[in-house]
This record gives sequence, structure tokens and C-alpha cells, in this order.
Amino acid sequence: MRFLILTLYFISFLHATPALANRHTNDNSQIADEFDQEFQAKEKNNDFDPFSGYNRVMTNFNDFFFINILDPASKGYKTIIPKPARNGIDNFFNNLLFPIRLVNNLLQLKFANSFEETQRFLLNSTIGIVGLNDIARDRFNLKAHNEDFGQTLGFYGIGGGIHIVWPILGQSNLRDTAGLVADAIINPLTYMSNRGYNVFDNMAQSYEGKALDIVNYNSFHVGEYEKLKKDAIDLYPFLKNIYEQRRKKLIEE
Amino acid sequence: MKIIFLCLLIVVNIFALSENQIQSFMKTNINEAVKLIKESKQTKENKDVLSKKIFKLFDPVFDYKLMARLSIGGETWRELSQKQKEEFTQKFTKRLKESYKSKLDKYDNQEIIVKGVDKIKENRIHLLTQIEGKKEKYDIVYKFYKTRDNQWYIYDVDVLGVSVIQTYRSQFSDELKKYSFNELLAKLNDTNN
Repeated sequence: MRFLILTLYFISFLHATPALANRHTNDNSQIADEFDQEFQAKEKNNDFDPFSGYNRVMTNFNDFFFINILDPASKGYKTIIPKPARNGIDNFFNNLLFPIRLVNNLLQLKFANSFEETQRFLLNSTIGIVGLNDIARDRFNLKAHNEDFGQTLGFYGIGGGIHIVWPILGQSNLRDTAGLVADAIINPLTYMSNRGYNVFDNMAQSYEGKALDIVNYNSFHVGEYEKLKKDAIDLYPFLKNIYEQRRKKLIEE
Repeated sequence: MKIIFLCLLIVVNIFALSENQIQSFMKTNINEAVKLIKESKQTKENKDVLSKKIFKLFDPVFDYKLMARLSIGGETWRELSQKQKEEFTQKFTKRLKESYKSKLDKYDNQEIIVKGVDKIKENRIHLLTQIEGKKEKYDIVYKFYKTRDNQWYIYDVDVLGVSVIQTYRSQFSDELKKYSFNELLAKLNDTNN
């Protein structure tokens, strides 16, 4: 009997003690320190930010541009152009960006995705009427595989490098800036002389086309930036951190 | 003897979430939350009322205090007084909830699917979920940790691969280079209102 009581006591003690201790889990530095290390391990490259002064100014400029120019423009555009037309324009531009996706899928050795992308381009350009309809997605369940050259560089182990904010293009870093340049060169919407597959006849048209693409795209996302921004206590480190984390995730996929 | 033993076990674990309960608990409550949101869309219910109902479902598994501690970082946390810790935890919890609340009206009848659990290591489990819209899919990962007595709590959420706690960590550490803790607290208070 005494043994039984002792055993019971012992068992209840075993369970009770951690339960009691748990009430103070968060003051228990051992557990929390393990977390700190986990987070720090992911953050170690983020400290060096030599352009932070400039980046902050540019973040504010972009913020002004988004809230006061791009979003109102997209909102107006949205009320004038009906949704099916905007979907068509979105599909059209997406279809034209096929070379960027193909090249980068191939460079990242994603051959199945490259093949799917090629099928998508052929189907959408023909049955989909010059890419206005995403027949490949709607009828054939073929999915787009967005890859850019920044992700390709990341795939081969190149780190993001110094963070840098570009006017209108927004948050970026050295690696992704190199990526943007490379992708712009492949992009059929970019005007370059001596090239067989220019969509536009001159530089001005090319910029107008790209602007339409941006406004049209943003017309599906009016107000979202403003909403996201409300979560920020300090806008620049907030957007910077989201950008770097998101890019890391996209490269891993 | 056996019965007493069993009773003891049950009493001790009554409010805990054990490892194999994580998925079913989250699935049930996510479905319940979706139901609540859909209902409130029809009845045009106040967002405050709705969000309170949803928080009631999930509050038992969120370790807000740990989340607050992690977002400000161990170094700063240790220097704070008990009162400061409490105040910060309260403000930070409010911040998280406000942020969630402001996203509620973005919900547009998407499916939310619990895809499964991923045991990262002995004391970490990720619950993988996906919001499926017409065009796009969004991954949301709830990150659980295990306490010493085998209970599981959420300490972070990844939205599209972006850890919510990390976004706060980077902002707070940046702020604390320039401002005092009390100024940061005031700022946190401002964004809540």
C-alpha cells in the first residue's frame, strides 16, 4: 500500500512539475534561447546594409508613387476596362514572357517544367489566340512555372548580397538586380535593335507596353499594398525583410 | 490502480495539445473559422465580433508571450522589467490580432486545406495549409514547438514563406538601434490605433 501511494505520488509529481514549470516557459531562457539561435541563424546575412540611408529614401519615394500614382491609376483603369478584357491583357503579357521562364527553367535543370511551359506557350499562342486566353491552364491543366534569372543565380548558390531599392521596381538586392538586367535582355517586350523577336518597334512603345502591363497587373491588386503597409511599424526594414524571405523561399522551390 | 493512473494522466493533459492532436485540432478549427467567416459575410456581422470568435478558437494554441519575446529578441527581453514584459506582450498580441483582423475581408470563398504535418525535429512540427483561390495558391505554415511536458503551441506563422515573427524581429532590432524601448512601445501603440 505504501508502495502504491509512493508510486502515485511519484507519478503525479512527474506530471505536475513540468506542468507547473510550463507556466513559466517563456521566462525559461533555455527554451527561448534555442529559438533565438534558430532565428539568428536565418538572419545572419541581413545585418550588412551599406545603402540603408538611400534605400530608406527610395522606399519612401516608391511608397508615394504606389499610393498616389499607381494605385489610383489602376483603380481608374479598373473601372473603365471590364474584367474579361483585363484578364486577356494579363494573359497576353504573361504569354510573351515565356522566353524568360523557359530559359530560367532550363538553366535550373527543371526539364519537366520547361516542357510544360513550352506546351503552354504553343497552346496559348494558337488556340488561345495570341495568348489572350490561358487555354492551357483552363482546359489542359498546365501550370505556369515562374522562374527568373535572380532565382537561377540563387539556385547555383549565389547569395542575395547587398540590399538595394530601385525606383518603381522596388526592393531588390545585387543578385536579383543582375537577374533583372538579364531577364530584361531576354524579354521580348524590351526594344533592342538587331533582334528578330521585338514586340515593339521602338523604345517609346516598349515603355508604354510595359507600363500598360504594370497598370493592368496592379488593377487586380488595388489596395493590397496599402493593406500590407499597415502591418509595418517601420516600412523599410519591413519590406526588406519580406522581400528577402520571399525570394529565399522562391529559390528553394 | 490502473484507473487512478489513467485519471491522473487525463487530468494533467486536459488542456494540452499532444502531437497527434495537432492536425485534427487545426483542421476542425480552421473549418469552423471558415464557416464563421462565410456566415458573417451573409449577415454583415461586425468584424470585431467575428474576429473575437475566431481568436477564441485559436487562442489556446498560440503562445503569444513567446511570440512577443522572440520578436523583440532574447537580449532585449532579459533587460526588461516584469511590468515592461507584460505591457509589451499585451501590445504585441494586440498588434498580431489587429493585423489578422484587417485581412479578414480579403477572404473570398477560397478553400483552406490542411495538407499535413511536417516534423522538423523532435520538438518542432510544421502544420502545412493552403488557401486555394481560382488563380493562385497561398501556403500558410503554422509552426508548433513542444514544451517540456509534451504540449504543443504555435510560436510563428509563415505566410508565403515569410515568417511573421522574423518581419517583426528585423523591424524591432532596427528600431532599437535608434530609439529606446519605451519609444518603441509607444510606436507599437500608435500602429494599433
